[in-house]
Amino acid sequence: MIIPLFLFGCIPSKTTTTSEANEELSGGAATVFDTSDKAFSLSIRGLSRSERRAFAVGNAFFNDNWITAPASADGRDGLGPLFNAHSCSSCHFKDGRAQPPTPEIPHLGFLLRLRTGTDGHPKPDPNYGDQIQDQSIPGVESEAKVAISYQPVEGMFRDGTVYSLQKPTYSLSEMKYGELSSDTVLSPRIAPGVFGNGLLEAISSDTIRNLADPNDENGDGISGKANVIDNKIGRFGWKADVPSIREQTAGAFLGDIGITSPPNPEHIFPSSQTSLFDIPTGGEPELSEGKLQRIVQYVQLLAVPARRGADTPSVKRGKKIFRNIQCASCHTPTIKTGDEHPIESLRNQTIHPYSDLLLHDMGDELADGFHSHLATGNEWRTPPLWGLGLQETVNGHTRLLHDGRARNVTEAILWHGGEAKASREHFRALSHKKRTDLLNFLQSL
Amino acid sequence: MLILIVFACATKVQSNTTPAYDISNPSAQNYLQSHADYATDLWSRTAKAAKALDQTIQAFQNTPSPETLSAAKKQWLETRTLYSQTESLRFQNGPIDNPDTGVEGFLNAWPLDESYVDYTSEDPNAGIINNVEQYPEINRSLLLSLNERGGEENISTGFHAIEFILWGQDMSTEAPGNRPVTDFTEHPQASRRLAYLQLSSKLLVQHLEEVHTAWTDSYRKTYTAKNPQEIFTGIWTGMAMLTGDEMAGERMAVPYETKDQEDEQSCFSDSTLQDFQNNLVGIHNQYHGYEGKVGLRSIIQEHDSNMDEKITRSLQEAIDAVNNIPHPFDQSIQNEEHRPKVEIAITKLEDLSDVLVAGASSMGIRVLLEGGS
Repeated sequence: MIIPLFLFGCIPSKTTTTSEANEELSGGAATVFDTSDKAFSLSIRGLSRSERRAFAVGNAFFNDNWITAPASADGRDGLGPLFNAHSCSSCHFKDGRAQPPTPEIPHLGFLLRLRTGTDGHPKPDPNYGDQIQDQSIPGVESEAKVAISYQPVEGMFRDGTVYSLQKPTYSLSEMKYGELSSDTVLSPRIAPGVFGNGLLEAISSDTIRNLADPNDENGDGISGKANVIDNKIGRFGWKADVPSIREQTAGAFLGDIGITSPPNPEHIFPSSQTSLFDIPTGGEPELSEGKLQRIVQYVQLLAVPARRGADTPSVKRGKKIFRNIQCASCHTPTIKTGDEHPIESLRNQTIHPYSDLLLHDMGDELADGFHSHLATGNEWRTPPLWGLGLQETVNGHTRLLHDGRARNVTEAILWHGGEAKASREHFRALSHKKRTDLLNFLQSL
Repeated sequence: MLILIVFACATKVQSNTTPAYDISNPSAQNYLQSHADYATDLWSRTAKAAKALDQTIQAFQNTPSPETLSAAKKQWLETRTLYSQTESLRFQNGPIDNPDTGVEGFLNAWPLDESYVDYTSEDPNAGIINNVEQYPEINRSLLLSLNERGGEENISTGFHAIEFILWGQDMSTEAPGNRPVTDFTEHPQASRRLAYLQLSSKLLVQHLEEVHTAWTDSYRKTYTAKNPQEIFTGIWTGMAMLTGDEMAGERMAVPYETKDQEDEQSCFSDSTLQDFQNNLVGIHNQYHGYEGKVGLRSIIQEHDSNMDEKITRSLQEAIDAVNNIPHPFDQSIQNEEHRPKVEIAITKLEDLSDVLVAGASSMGIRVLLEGGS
């Protein structure tokens, strides 16, 4: 019980002799030792008093339900008029990952993004804008209802074990604002976990650029590419098309909750929805600069849970397999954060995100045809794998990938295509025992 | 940061050089039994108070009048007083908030979005009570099913739902909410409002009795079988979380920063300060002992008397700082003269939380707060 505390308290000491020491500290000094359903919701340890308050206050704002304007609750009115969620936490539940809706589970943390024109100048859909908002305030029609159906995709491991994946198809009904443009692309998105994003933000842009190999000059078949937005390196979002937590937060407030903020001071309604400009707002902007800053600080200060059982033989074997079959080529095990982040505890940390934050062609099966800045329709950002083994404990499910189609880690690996196809084929060729070792390793993250 | 490192490493040194606290010794055993008796007794008194509340609400329903309404409010405050004292029994997988069977979310969820339950000054048709079309019948299972659906502030049951129905929105700077009795007699949805009130008070009784029964029976068995180390961890965690993450953080730092009445806990009845005071009464009783039950102090005094002095002093300073905040809390967070007093209380509660974490550590027990050290 006490041992983890020693490890944590004394990490800054330089007594370690091998490069793999402290590898259970997924977030460096920003690691916490907890395996409960709060594992993604804990702050970095050793906060200053002001950081501690920022964390508490930001946490409350993260959970706050926005309500219809005007309301007596001045600070939190202005919901919608069209929206996907009432609060940050309804999608990023317990700061973790959402799952696709089922008949029992509502659309929380799942949405469809829209883009038209894939000629390098993608635009929002003329009638529905950037995303389908399936909820609305009273007196306003929500945009549409989204239904998902799945078709089985059968396959077999090299050892003869059969598996069945599920491929999703999306359909819209009750469309209240006209037709979608004929070339509009639908891109399903699951709300990812938000813990550890402070550390990812603290990685220097140069570090990310140095990981990139857009022309595959090293000839390993893998060509990581950094997304770039207004000369800034993209880090967040499934297409790495958002450079900072602040922009990500403000973007989600506008698109998902219908809340304006200093970075996005105005609602953007397509021409089919101009009547919505007459709906009362909750202020100009609706989310104050102060509250936005607190929410951003809250996310930045969220710690990463430590690995469990990193030293067990099966996990160690699995880790070797992870490297041998090239998973680690994109799911970069170790990165050092830079020395410029405003939050001191995030600087100069050796972290184990298992991501390079780069875009990779993941093949046609996963492609959404959705371009965003430098990301093509086949490209996705490598999602970090830290905390993977605690997802079920915290969020009660094991759904993975951008649309949540994978029902577990094995399925997620089996969907890998494009640059990752060779790794997937290696995985299919592994013996049952080796697959188990690999999965045990992934569960230890 | 530096302090933390020193502290954490100091613990290591200590545990290597001095024997760890022996949790199998007789005084520890004696204390743990006494603590269970304390918890059982407190839940019993709280459930009884809730029953009395249900009776006053029944009397109000039979004869709605300013007098019967006022009697119901008075008993709500009595029940709330005791409930606030139970809150240091949270955060330790006890019957109140065990992830699988806990009823805390039904009893005490907040902040509550008023317009989810009833009309507000902005929307005369808002809330479950006025939404006849969607909810033709207000019944027990409806209220249970609507609690925390689709958002953490969609609260349909518990103390704050009852508080809102009894008091109404607080539109006054000096006084609490003042819902007219006519809401229960002449308003088009008067009978639905009365039904809602009665059902939620019965649910309150039921949930509190569930917790009490668990302590007398099923959970008491679990408790007795638990590793003492785990119980001690829970006891320290409950107190440190309540003072740190909850009181200093969500319940005080948030309204202090937003200056928004909506962010205070018992905003309809203006009894937020009473909540804080009784949270600390609960910790005080649990630490110092209460009505013949031995407190945690008996252990710490024996094990580390310096630590006991620190805890005792810090607890008293937190109590004094909270008592020093002028009533009502929703005005003190806005009044420039009073705000420093709120700020001091936040600091003292953070100090107390840190001292409690250190107290646990002195016994070789690790406590992990959501946000903090």
